[in-house]
Amino acid sequence: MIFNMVGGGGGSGATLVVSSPANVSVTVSKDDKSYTKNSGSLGSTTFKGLATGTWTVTISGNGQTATKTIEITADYSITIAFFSATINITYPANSTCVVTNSGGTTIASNTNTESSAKTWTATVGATGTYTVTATATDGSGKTKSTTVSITTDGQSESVTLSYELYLYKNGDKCTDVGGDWSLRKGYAEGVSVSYKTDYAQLNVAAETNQYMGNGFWYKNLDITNYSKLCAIVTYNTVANSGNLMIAVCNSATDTPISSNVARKDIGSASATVPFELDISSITGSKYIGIGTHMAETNSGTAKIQAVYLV
Amino acid sequence: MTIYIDNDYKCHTSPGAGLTAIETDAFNGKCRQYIEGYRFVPAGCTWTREDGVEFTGEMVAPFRDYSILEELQSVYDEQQQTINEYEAALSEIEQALGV
Repeated sequence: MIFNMVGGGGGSGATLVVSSPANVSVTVSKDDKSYTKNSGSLGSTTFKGLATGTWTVTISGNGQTATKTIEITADYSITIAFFSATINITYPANSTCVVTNSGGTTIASNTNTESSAKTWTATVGATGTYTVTATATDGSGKTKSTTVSITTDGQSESVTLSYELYLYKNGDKCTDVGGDWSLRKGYAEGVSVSYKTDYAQLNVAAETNQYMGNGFWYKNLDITNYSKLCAIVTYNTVANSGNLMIAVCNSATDTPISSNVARKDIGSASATVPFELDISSITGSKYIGIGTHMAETNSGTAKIQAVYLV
Repeated sequence: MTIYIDNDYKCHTSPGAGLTAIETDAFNGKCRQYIEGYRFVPAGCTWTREDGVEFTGEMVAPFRDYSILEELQSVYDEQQQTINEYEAALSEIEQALGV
């Protein structure tokens, strides 16, 4: 026989705090003892004087019921909800991560003090659209957000946040960002691109008495929210300073060397660290990518490992 | 053309104390206001943005809102077009008058 008691024990014993939806019936029961309270407007219910052992916590309201079983050995707190879904989040190093609901209320948060990306799981208690936001803690102001739609109890979603927006990465043309790459072959159409397994290869052919300039390997997209355009070029035999460059242009027909909005010369260099162009004062839709400019009879090859926005 | 850069690599169109002369064709056809909204970092030099990010030269990039520079250049180009038309008309008149 279960004695269903209103109230929550008392005297010696452990204290149990139950966090739940507001204004629901909360019952804790063990053996022949049962205590029931209403969670109130704050959704917090306290039961005192509970004996050690296995207790069942049940909430009910609005036609829904949820139950959890806990083992009490000392004061205890639990959260119980009618609905539960998880968002598995990977976010950048040295950052904080916050999950907010559509009303802007913070549901969960996490901090990453490590120098590499971190994965954590946020639990949400209702359907809806949640915003996951990562913010750098180095004062740079870098931030990245994405939304997750939760529609089903038990649903599990995964998101990855990164401050870099890749336009090309190690063989992946990243066509979901700005579409596919385009190539203007330049004078005498001497510039070509070969897509290898893990890099893109720009080829500039030499031809006597032909100015093989003004090739442009590019994408068109809005760069408003980015402050840096970067490229990793790991092999480069394009001769003469200024012949390879990162460029931002207003149109696909602009020549990167002379009609650009901004450019960063790569020349004949190559490195495992990125070449970087400041684009912090440029907004709107632009044509961005790698430009070439060759004097006659000069040729060359460049291996592009990555192009990305930060 | 010759431009002049200060110790923050900002461009100027006239010489002055503390400015370094640079020969470049990066701003051919551009008006003064456009040029002076840009930063020119020569090869071998490094500029540090206020957030601490470093950029090496040669780099040519605006430090003023590019959309404003673009509008200023557009107005300048229209004015130049008008001037060119007037000069062409004047030349025709002079030819007609034999002067």
